[in-house]
Amino acid sequence: MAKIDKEILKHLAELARIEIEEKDEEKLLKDLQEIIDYFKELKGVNIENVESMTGGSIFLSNIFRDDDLMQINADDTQINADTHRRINVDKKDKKISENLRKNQRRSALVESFPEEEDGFLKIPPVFK
Amino acid sequence: MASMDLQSLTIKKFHNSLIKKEFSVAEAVGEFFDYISEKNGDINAYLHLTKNLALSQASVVDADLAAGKELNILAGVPLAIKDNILIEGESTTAASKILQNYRASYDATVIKKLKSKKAVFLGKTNLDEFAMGSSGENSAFGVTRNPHDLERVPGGTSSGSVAAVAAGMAVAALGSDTGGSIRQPASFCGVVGLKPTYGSVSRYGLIAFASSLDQIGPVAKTVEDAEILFNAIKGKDSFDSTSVDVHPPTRGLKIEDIKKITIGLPEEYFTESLNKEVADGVNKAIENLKNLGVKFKKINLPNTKHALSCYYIIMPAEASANLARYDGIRYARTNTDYTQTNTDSLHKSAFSQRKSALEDIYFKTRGGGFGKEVKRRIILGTFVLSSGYYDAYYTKAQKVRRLIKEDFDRAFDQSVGGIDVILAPTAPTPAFKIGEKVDDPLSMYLSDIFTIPVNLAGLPAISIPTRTNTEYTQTNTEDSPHKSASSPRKSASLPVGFQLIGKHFHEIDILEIGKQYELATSR
Repeated sequence: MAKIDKEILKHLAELARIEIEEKDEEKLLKDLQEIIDYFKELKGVNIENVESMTGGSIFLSNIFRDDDLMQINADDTQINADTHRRINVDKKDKKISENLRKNQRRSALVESFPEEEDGFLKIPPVFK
Repeated sequence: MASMDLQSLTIKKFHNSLIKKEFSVAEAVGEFFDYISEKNGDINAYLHLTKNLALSQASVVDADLAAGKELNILAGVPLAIKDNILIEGESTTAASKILQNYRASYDATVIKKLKSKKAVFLGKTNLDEFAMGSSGENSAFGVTRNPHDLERVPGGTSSGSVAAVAAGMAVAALGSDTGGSIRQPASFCGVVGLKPTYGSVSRYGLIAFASSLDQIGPVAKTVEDAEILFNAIKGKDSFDSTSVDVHPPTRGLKIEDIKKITIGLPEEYFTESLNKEVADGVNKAIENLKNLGVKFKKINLPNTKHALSCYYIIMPAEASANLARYDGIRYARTNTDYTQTNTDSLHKSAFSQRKSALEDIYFKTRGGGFGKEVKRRIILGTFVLSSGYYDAYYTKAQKVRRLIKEDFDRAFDQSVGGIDVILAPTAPTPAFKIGEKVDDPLSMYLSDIFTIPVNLAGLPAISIPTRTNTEYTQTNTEDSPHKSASSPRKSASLPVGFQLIGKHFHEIDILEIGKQYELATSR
C-alpha cells in the first residue's frame, strides 16, 4: 500500500492549490498515512465482476432538458420548471435580452461578487 | 403572554396554540430571540440570527391570522437553518473563514418551499466547516456545546441545528447528512433526525460537499414534527437532476398493522464491543417495539466492515472536486486579503515557486481560508483521485460501495422473506468530551461507523431517542441536585438514539413506526 512522503504531499498540495505551512506538514503526513493505512482492509474484498456504483441515485438514467432559453424570475415562487414560461430564442429581440440582463437573479449574482464594474465582474490582476 | 415552555414546544403544539390565539407569531419569535440571546453564549448553536427576516415573516402570518385565513401547519413556526443552506440575502458561511463574508444570492429549494408554507427562520446554525467532522468542533467560528452537558460535544456536523432544537432555541431545524451528520448529533442530543432517501429532497442551494451522499433533512423534537417538515421539503426539483418524485403507498400505520412488520437486527452492528449505555438504550427500544407486537429477526450485512474505508475514499474525492470552486476569486473575499501579491512571498513559499500572481491567490486563499480537517480531506481526495492511485482506491471504493448497497437490497428483498425495516444503534457511544478526539482523525471518523452505510446505499434513516426528553430531565435532576448544565454528570444520563433504516423512498415506513414508538413510550 501507498506510503505518503513529503514529496508526494508537496505534489498533492500543488494539485489541490493549497498552501501548507511547514509547521503543519508533519502532523498532516502522519494523519494521512494513518488513514490510508486503514484502507488496507479493503485489499481482501472480492470485487471481480462488480460494477462501480457511481453517484448516489438508484435511478441511473441521464436527465435531459430542451436546449432553449427559460425565463428565470426571482419573484417566481413556483419551483416546477413547467410553470416557467418558455420564451423563444430570438437574439434580435432586444426586449427579451434587456429583460434577461435586468433579471434580478443575475444582478444578485453580480452583487454577491467581491467587486464589479458596470455589471462586469472585477478580479485582481492575474498576469503579474 | 404567558411564558411558553420553549423546551417542549413542537410544531403541532405551536400551531394549535397559534390558531387558538394564545400568542402571536411576533410574540413567539420575540420570546425565542430573548431565549437565544440568553443561551447562545454557552451553546454557540447559532452563527447569525436573521431577525429582520423573521420579524417580517412573522408579521405576514399574524396578518393572515387576523384576517381569519386558514394557516398551514408550518405557518409562523420558528425554525433554525444549518449554515450550509442558502437563504437569499443572508450570510451563509458553511462555518468556514473562506465564506465568512458571503451572502447568498438565492434561496435553496428547501427554503423556497418552507417560505411558501410561511415558516419563520430564526437564524443560521453552526456546523463543522463545510459539514466535515463528527463532533461540531471543526467550525471556524467556535465549538458548539451539547445542551445536556456543556463539556461534551453535540455531535456533528449539524451541531448547531441539533443543539438549537435540543435546547429549545428553535421549534425544529434543517440539517444535512452526508455520513450521519443529522442522525449522529440527534442521537448525542436526544432529538429526532431524519436523513431522507438520496433524491427525496432537492440539494439545490445546499453548499455541495460530497454530492453523491449529501441530503438535507429535518431535526425535530418528535417523529411527527420530522414528518411535517419532511413532507414540506421533499419532491422533484428541476434544479437538482438527482431529485425524484416517488410515491410509495401513503398510509397511516395502525397499531394492528405494526404487528405485521418485521424489523431486521444486523449482527454487524450489535457486536460485543458496543458501548454499554448504547446497547442498553437500544435493547430497551427493541423491547418497547416488541411490546407493540413488532417481530424481530437477525440479519447480516456482511460488507458493513468496509463502509468506513469506502466512505473515506469516496467522500474526500467528491469534496476535493466540489471545493475547487473556492479560489479567492469568486464569492466574497476573506478578511485576509490575499489578492495583494507581494513578490517576496512568491519566493519564500515553502513549496515550489508559483507561476503567476493568480496561482498565488489560489494557494494563499485556500491555505489560509480552509481549516485543518477540510485541508486534510481535500488532500486525501486529491490523493485517491491522482494518477497511479485512482484504481487502487477510488475505483475499488466505488465497487465496494455497490456491495454495501447490495447487502441492504438482499436484506429488504421480499421475495426471499426479507425484512421491512432495519433497526441499529445510531452512534457507537453517547456524546464524548470536547477535545477528546480532536487530534486523532481516525478515531473521530469511527464515530460515524453506524450511520455511513446508509448514505453509501442512499437509504432513508431516522434517529430516535431511546428515552423521551422528560425522562432525561428527570434523570438529570436526580443525578445532579445542584442542577447546572456544566456540572459533571454520569454518562448514563446522556441521550442515546437508535436508528430505523427503510427501503429506498419508504420514509413513510420508518416515520410510522417511529410515531407508534413515541406514542407507546410517552404514555
